[in-house]
Amino acid sequence: MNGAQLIVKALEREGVDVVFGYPGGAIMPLYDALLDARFKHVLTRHEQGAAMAADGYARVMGKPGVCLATSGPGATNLVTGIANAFLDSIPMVIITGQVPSPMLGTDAFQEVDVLGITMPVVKHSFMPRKAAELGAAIREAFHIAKSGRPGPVLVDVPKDLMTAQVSHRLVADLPPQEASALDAIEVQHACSLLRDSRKPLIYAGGGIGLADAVDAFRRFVEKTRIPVVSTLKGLGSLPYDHELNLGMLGMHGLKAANTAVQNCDLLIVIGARLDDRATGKLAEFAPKARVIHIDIDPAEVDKLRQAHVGLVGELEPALEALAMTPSIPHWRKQCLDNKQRFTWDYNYPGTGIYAPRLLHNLSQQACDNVTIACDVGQHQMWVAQHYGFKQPRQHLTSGGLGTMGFGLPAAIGAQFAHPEDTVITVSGDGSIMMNIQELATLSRYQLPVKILLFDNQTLGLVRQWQELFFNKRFSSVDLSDNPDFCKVAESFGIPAIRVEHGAQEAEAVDALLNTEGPLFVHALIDPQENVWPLVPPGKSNTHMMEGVNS
Amino acid sequence: MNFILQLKLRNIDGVLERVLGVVRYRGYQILKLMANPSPDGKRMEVTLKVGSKSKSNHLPHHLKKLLDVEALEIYGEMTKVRFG
Repeated sequence: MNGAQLIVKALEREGVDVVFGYPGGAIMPLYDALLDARFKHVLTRHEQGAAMAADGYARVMGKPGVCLATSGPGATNLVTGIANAFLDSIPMVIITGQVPSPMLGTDAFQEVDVLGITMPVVKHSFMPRKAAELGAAIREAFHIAKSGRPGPVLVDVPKDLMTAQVSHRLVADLPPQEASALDAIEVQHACSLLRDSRKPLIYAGGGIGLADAVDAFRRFVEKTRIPVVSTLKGLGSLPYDHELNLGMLGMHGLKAANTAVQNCDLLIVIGARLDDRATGKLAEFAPKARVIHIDIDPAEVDKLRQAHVGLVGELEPALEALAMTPSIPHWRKQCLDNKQRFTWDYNYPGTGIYAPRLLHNLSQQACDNVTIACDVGQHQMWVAQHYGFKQPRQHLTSGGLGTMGFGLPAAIGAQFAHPEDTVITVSGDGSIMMNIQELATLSRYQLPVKILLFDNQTLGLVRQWQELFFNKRFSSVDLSDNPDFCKVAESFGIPAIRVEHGAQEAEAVDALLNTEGPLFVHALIDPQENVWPLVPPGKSNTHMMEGVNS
Repeated sequence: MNFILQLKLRNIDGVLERVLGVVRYRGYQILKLMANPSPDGKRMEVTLKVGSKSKSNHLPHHLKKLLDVEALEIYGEMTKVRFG
């Protein structure tokens, strides 16, 4: 067999069932070998779409997604998708074709140093130098991508290695990476802080879902009966309707959540990195709190906020070690009273579509097997605020990199992962245009992905900031020359409906949940509508604006 | 704050570039650098003197995440900490 066939065998051995990619000169031997692969290859219409589809697949499945591209522009088109996976700790294996070994470093046609370009945004990367190394490289790439804190791993393969003859040798399994054992003294210290606390609060991050520690986390919450706030990526770790769930904190967080953070005396940070969108002004974040920080990555502990106790290791044993029932009836009541006090108001004065209400109603009627893949912008925040998640893997959102264009390809990956589930992309008219070519992928594979497009003919979140913080000097946010999105969808063979009145919201929800096959719902919304609450940049989470004049 | 890092690395393609990239990205300035490959070429020992205006010293944790960093020692003004 040749090196390309060996790569295919190695991918089969890793249990890969689908890869996303786009062919080109330097990766043609691998595309030839793919014709005989036992797994499916999905042709996206841009390499960025392939990377983000692999990312979406990985988020839903909890195992590495795989994408392929050729050298040069194929490889550079992957970079945003790789960075997106890196910032959100998503396991991914990326295979790029490269110019033949003798031509490396000669500025050959379609040669770029993709290893060098991607170094800051991969967990690791390789360029095998011999065809015989390919099997081991693929094995190691998967091992690294999924062990410890997950992340993307790139394998850049010179073309001559793919055509070279190799013997098919089985590569030995790599031993599972041992997480560091918890420090017993630190555990004691943490228990002591928890025992002494009168106002403890749990800060749930995306690491809970990534570590498959949702059950352990829920046992911890039930045992301790401590109120919970979530980061954007932590949503769903506790069901949205759980009594102790105060919702998302941060810039667009709920008032009950931000208030609890500012008043707690102990913050138990679980699988989170204290991102600036969550903490607001760091110096004034949780000012009265001691901090217990639990994470698998030692580099996250003390990075932004000094922890009184750092527990580095797997979440499950750490949560088991801390499980106790502190007596906090007054604090719990205070938090839950605030939750009741600051509920959402879905009464909207206008007659148009009100995105928060539509999303809330969609959430109320959706089954548990609905996955939401967001783009980035106002709609992303409305989803986080108003869609009730019951599991973190239901919510695919670009948290760290904030990548417009993520939603549609991520939904494609999610639909391949779970063909029977309902996958809905929630997008905006800015974001959808970033990867709209992937409608062709939906159409080609007849994926039943639904697209809910909130169209305000503007870059909404940028416009909101310009309105509030740049004296209404609106710069390059007007998208009123958008195409007719229904016609665009239909030209790709995807049925489309347009809704523009509040009375049509129910029709839209029904169509999204009950239409067989793909569907594009074009929802026109008020360009003036903003996301509230909002903590202004650089301000503490106590400074929550709840309207233009607040 | 200035300090010295001694690293033992797997000497594979780009390993020094990875280390220096992390040092730059995390806001440290390189004040001195010495790199010696082992006689068999499989390892590399690197001594780095770095400086930063930041009072926190998180760089070793980030460097230790690189898979080709096998061991790392840090020498501050008064302390010595061993990683790996």
